[in-house]
Amino acid sequence: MKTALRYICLIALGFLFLIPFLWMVSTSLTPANQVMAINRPWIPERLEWRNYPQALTVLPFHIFLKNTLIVTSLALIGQVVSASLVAFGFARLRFRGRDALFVLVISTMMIPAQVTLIPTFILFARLHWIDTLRPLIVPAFFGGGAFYIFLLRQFFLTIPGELEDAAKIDGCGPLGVFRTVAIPLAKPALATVAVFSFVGHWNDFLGPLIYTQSVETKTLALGLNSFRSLHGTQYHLLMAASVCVLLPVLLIFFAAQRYFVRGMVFSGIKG
Amino acid sequence: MLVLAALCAYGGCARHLAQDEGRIVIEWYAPATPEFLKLYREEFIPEFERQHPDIKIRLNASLGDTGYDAKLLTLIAGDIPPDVVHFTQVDYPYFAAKGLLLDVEFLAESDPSLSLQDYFAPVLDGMRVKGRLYGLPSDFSTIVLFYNRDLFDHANLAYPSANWTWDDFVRAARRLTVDENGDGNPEQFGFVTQNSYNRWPAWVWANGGSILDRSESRCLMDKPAAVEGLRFYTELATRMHVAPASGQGAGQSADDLFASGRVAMICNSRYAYKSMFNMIPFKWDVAPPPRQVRRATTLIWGCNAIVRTTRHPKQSWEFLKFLSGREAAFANIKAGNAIPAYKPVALAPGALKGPQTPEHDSAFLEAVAYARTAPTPVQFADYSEALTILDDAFLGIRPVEDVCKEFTRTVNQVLRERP
Amino acid sequence: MKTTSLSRREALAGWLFVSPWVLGFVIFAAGPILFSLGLSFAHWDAITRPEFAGLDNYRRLARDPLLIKSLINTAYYAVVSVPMGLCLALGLALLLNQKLRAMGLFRTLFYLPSVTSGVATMMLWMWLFNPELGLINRFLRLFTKHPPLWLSDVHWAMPALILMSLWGAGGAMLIFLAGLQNIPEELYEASTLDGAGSLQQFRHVTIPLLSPVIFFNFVMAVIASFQVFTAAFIMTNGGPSHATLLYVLYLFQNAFVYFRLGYASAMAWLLFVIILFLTLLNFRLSKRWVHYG
Repeated sequence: MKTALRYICLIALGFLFLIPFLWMVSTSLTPANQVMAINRPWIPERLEWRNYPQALTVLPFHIFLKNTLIVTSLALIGQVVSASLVAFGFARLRFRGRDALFVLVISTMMIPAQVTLIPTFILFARLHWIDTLRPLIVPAFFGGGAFYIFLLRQFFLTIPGELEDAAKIDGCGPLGVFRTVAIPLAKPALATVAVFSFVGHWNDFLGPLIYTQSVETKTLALGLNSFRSLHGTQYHLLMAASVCVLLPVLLIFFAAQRYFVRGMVFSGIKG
Repeated sequence: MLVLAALCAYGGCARHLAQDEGRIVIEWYAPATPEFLKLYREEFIPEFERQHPDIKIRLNASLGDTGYDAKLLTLIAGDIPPDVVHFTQVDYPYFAAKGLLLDVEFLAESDPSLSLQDYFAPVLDGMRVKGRLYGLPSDFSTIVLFYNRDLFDHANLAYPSANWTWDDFVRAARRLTVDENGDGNPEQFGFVTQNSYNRWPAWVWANGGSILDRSESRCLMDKPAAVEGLRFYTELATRMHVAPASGQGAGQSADDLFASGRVAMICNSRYAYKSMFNMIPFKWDVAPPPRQVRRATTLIWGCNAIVRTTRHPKQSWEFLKFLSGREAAFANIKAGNAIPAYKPVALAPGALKGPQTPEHDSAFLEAVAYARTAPTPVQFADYSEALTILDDAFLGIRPVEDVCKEFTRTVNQVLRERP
Repeated sequence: MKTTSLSRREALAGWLFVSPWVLGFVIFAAGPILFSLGLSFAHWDAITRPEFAGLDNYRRLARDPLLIKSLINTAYYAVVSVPMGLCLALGLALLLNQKLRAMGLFRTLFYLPSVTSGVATMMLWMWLFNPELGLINRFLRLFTKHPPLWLSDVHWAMPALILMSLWGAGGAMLIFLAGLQNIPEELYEASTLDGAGSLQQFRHVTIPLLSPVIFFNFVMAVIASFQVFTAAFIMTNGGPSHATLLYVLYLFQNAFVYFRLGYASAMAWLLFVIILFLTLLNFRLSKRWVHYG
């Protein structure tokens, strides 16, 4: 009974969440001259599959895909590794100035990116990094951003002290505790960070917009944006391309499922 | 760290590859939809480089136009400005007035290979800032009346004629506004108004009003003719209800309403053709906009300009001429980019005609005679902020007189404080 | 003696662990932040040289009616969207935190909106909200003759943006889920043995043990809601009649449309102080309800 109720709730909410996406797919399969029709049917009378090859060939999407893959994969490694190290330092090690430093970490999130855009650009220009993918990747290796540090810190804080003590008695230093206790226990959180990082970079718009110049350095998110202009949006192509850009991420997410569920097994700690 | 080093090496190559030995590199910053990206990469640039073997064009394309100016600003602030920049009538005046752009009036006068007479005068007029020209126009369009022929036929109405006055227009719009189930919520509207800064001025002008005085030092929007012009235009939606109240919203919805067949008429530019050819399943045509005490309409355009600090003004000028020249004009037409600013091509018989161009396509060129660029004072940045005041008139939540008064006061302040 | 050397070693290890961030901050962040602080005392259009302006920009803050308007709009957005978004995310996470069939599918489904690219999402929602053509009003017309004009209506534009933000609750949901996975089953079993009902379990086991994650999501949601930008930028550009002029949108307009970079910087620092105050308040209050393991 309870299970049935749960499923009913999930299906109802799931349906609501799905509607915009279904409309997107529907649009991507509608012939261009029917897209704006009043009371357009959900399933077009004639499925226009041609929208897909058209959307993917009007732009050099293979270049964009390659760049996006480079940026997302490298930045993901950088963020997961460096954010977990830094977060562990803030969560489980005591040192002078730690709390003040942590406030500084959090503070960096409170300055809107729009206002540091120009000075950051000047910095990268001085480094001759403009028109390369470096501005999108390298900073990820330096702490991975306050959001992820804070997130992982919260998870590391929930690790029971007993586990840490047990590892210390076994002769582990901080790095040992980090590797043998913190990382295994925080797997769901690390998976979350990995997913956020991946999705964040996959869809990032402002960074690539400002730092990439030639077509050879553009990313998928920029490509999608080009279907929209002052003089009209090509909805059918935009939606077809968006579905294509969305699907791989969705599949990866679905495949990575088990890392969220497994969770950790606390056996025999308490009592 | 190893990964870092590797990716620095990898990510670093793009810019250096573009440095071609011996050739002078001109960087061109321009917005591009997929079609234009193709056009630039496969036609414009190879053709120009073939004609000028000593110059290489490096395209810095902004895909779509979101954030276009913000990015230009970062390039300037980062001290790596492009050499040539594409502008529209929206952003050009500011950058020109700021002294960022090279004055090409001299160049144009002293270059025998080019004559400014070959360009449409109202476009050049709109581009002159304090009497000087800071770029060459590439394409433009007047704003005319688009109408859904099927809906006119259905209502048994004559198509809009060249002599239509506002009264004729409203009469037709009323007939075309249909509320079949009588719920006070029409399923079809005669027209759709847009609050864009380059739409409403046409109605103020047509009514005999002005927005700024000739020297652009005083705002005249509180004068009766101007107030009445704006009132008429906004009341189409707020009082006469021949246009949906919702047309004022986010930019695209007005075009979409027309494409859906839900509104019978819209004022639009020839730039809209491209998406209309694709999107519209009904018969449609264009006509001159309706007149009141005089004929008037607005003008929008695109141009290219040279950044003053360029190290290669000569080569940039060659590229500018190419972008506004004969070959580019033909390519522009082929890509569906409104009307070339280069008269010899635009006015050549049949040059603009395509398989889908509507019957009265000539309305665009005829309107050149009375079209003007919407006001773009040198203080355009602040002026554009003042424009948001007019929202209240479009929404019908404040009397038009009051809104016009506040607008006039604010604009006058802007014009006074920032000469 | 021993303890001090131990704690010294721990301190050294601590600094080593956090050193990537410190380095990154010094190299990439500190300069631009100081630059923008300096800029807030200058007039600058990014084209000509900056001019020293003293406190001009800050004085302007005090008498800019649109700034006040944008602050009120932002507060409205935050006060409504943060609790609604968090409750929805937590509810979804609780529903999904079961070893039942097809949970992976549902999890993917609820996270789907967060994966969808920004441009497509915005265009999709502009369409859904389209008063004449949109799906939402197509549905509402079954019940009312005059459904809202959404993004074209002064009163409905903001609720529309908030509604859209709820669709993106998947991110916070995922974090809640990770947190729920962290709660040991034994604790539930023990409380069941003690005869606790599911509501009591929720109050006495779930909430306290999830509190660090709730706290995280709350702090982040507050910070993010004060900086929300893209939706208003693409969908409404602040209109109609400034109804959706959110703070960071107005900041962006000042920087990149009206070319007042100095003023935009001053705005950023005012926002910084506001968010910092709220966040510190959150941290202070958190001592009362957040329990760490």
